[in-house]
Amino acid sequence: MEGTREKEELLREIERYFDCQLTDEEERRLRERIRHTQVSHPAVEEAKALMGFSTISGSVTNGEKVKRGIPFGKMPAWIKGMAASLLLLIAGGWIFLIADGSEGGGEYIAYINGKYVTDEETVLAALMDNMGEFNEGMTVAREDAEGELEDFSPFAECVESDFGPDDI
Amino acid sequence: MRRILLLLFLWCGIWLTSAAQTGLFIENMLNGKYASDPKVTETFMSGGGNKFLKKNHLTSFATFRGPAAKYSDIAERWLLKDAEKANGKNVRYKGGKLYYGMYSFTPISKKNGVKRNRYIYYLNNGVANGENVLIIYMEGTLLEDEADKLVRSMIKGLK
Repeated sequence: MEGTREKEELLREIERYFDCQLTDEEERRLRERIRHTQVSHPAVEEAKALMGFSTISGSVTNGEKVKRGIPFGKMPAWIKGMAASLLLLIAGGWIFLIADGSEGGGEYIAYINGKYVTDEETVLAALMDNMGEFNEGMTVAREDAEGELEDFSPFAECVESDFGPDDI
Repeated sequence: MRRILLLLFLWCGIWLTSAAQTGLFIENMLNGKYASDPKVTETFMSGGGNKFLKKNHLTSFATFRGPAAKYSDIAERWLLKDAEKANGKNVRYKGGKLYYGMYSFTPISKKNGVKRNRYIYYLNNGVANGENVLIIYMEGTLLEDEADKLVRSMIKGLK
C-alpha cells in the first residue's frame, strides 16, 4: 500500500519535473530518488534516461557503468568449461590453418647456435649444412653396408643353383 | 548431459590442436624443444609461398642436427615409436644402435583433400665415429623415390 503511494508520489514528481515546475532543491531530491528507486514504470525509465542514469546498453550510476549479468567467476563450472572448450576449439582451428601450410607466404625458421632466425638465405644455408652432413654420413653408411654384404660373397659362390639372376 | 557436452567440446578441442601436428613422435625433436642448445641446428620450412617447397612438391621440410652423444637415445626412442606406424622402412643397426633409418608413412589428408606423404630420414653419425645425429622430415605430394632423389641431390646445392 505504502509502495503504491510512494509510486504515485514519485510519478507526480516526475510529471512536475517534465513540466519544469521543480525547484533546484526538489530536482536534486528527485534525482536521488530516481537513482535508488526500484519502481518500474515507463515514466521512471524515461526520467532515468533523461537524468543520465540509464543507457541503452546498461545502467549507469554516478557516471559508473553497472555491468549486467553474472560475473565469469561466479558462473557454473559447466558453462566455464564450455567457454574454455570453445576457446580451445578456436585456437586449435587457428593453429590447424597455420600449420596446414598450404596457403600464405613461405615460412623459414632456423635455430642456429641457440638463436632464432627467420632470414630465408640463412635458413637455407643452415638447411644445406644439415643436408650436406647427412649425405656425407649416408655415403659412409652405404659403403659400410655394402662392405658387409661383400663378406657374404664367398658363401654365395658356393651355392649351386639352376636359377641365375636373369631368371628372377 | 552437461558433462557429456563438456567432454565432447574438450575432445574436439584436443583433436583440432593435435591435428595441427605432423602426427608423428619425431616432432618432439623438430619443434624447437632443443633449440636453446648452441650445438643444435634446426631448420623448418612451410607455406605455399616457399619457392623451394613448391619446386619439390613439399609442404613442410624440417631438419635437426645435434650431438649424437646427447640426442641419439632421445631420437631413437621417438623413431622406434613412429616406426611402428611406418608402412615402409629401410633401417640399419650397428653396435646396438640405430645407425640410419628411412621411414615412409600413411599419407595424411589435408583440408583441400590432397593427400600428403610423410618421410623421416635419420642418421646417427656417432656410430661411425662422427659427431652428430641428423633428422630430416618431409611432407608433401612427392613420392618416395622423389624424396630419396631430393635428399641425395642436396649434397650439390639447393638452388
